Amino acid sequence: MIAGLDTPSGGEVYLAGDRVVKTSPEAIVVWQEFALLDWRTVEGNILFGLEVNGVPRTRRQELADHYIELMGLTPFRHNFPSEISGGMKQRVGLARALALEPPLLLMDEPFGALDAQTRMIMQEELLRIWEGSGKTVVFVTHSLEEAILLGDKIGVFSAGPDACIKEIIDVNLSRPRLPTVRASADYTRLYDRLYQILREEVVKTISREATAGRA
Amino acid sequence: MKGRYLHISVLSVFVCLAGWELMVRGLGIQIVILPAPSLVASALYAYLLSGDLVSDVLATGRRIALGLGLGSLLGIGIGLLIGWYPRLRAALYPLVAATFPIPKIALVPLMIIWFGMGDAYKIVLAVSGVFYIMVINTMAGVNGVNRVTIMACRNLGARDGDIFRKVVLPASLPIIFAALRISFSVSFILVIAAEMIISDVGIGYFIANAGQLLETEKVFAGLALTAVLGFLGDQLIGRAERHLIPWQRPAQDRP
Repeated sequence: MIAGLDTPSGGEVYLAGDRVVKTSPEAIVVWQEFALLDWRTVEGNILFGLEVNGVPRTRRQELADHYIELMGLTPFRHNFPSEISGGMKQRVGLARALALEPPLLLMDEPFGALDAQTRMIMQEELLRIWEGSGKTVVFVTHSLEEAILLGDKIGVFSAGPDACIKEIIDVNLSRPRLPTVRASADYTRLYDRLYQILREEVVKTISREATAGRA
Repeated sequence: MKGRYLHISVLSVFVCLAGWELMVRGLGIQIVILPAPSLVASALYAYLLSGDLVSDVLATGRRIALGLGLGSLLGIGIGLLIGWYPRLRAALYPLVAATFPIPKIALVPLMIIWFGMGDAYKIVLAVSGVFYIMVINTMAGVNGVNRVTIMACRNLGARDGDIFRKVVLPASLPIIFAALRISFSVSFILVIAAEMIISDVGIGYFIANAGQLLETEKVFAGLALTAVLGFLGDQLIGRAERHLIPWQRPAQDRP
């Protein structure tokens, strides 16, 4: 809904003061399933967004080159998505979003399809690229650890079909975030607190499903 | 056909041919029923020397190519339109679905009435067969494009025209090519059949004529020729496919 890809059943969505009515490159999504174009190379995929927005050729190439470099994709720039790993694909997904330099990045469980080690690396990459960019990122995840590691604020959703934001927690860990933050006392306290809040909702969901099963 | 076992394949073909030859001679099978491969080979050679082979291949080849070319142009064009515009689809698809089940061979008498007994009816027949295959598959290709990918592209700023040209078209190419291979086969069948019914030139005519005169060795020669042509045509399409669809991962070779 924030990206304008879905319409709310009630109420309105506002982005930077303007009402969201349709999708635009102001809020770009990075998808869990990558959603790359199989018939274009890594470079071609990153150029796509720039092409459809009418960016002139030389500028397009500049931006593409820059983000290919930034995401460590240079040796793969002429490969097709079918030839690269999941981690690489998501780097492309991120690069093509960043190339349009949007004020808002929407990341929908972007590392969910990746193995644990790649996931850790990608989290660090994201922090590196984001910190200092001034962009806002809305990041959806099921992982408590990921939420605390990456976020400034965490919105915990309630259970059930009428899910709403149950609570918003501020993450007061210092920036830049290092992977070692996981060992700190503040982190552990946050984790426990988050876990308690979330556990309530998970238990509700399970018991609701159980009653539905019995009935 | 490369691979470690190429020598086995070649040997196998050799053994089959030799076996066939020996069986025919040893059992004294009549030429009319089953001619020996040596006889078929000499019939093929005579066919070539007389110049008829070349003119027949050109005639049949031309008809197949035109049938495939025109049929797929029409079929892909309309397939793309009805795949993309729901109103056009609602208007045209019932017509397609209703007429598709008709075996195109059954159209021969009608085609002859409408187009005479020459080249035209054979080509139109081939077009009719190819058209349906291409329309239905192209439409399926357009509809089958991943929804999330389309959403992602819209999100990046692509408008309808961009989506159609830069996403839907390339995404449909694999299906279109698969359908093209089938269409080639269908065009081949229909042209040969049409030539067998009424023609004065072509491989189908050659085979039918030889059959009527009980010259079975010539029938086999004609069949062998069709096998070669069919194989070559398919290879050509495969080559075009690899050139236009370089992003598909090739099927894994098994050791």
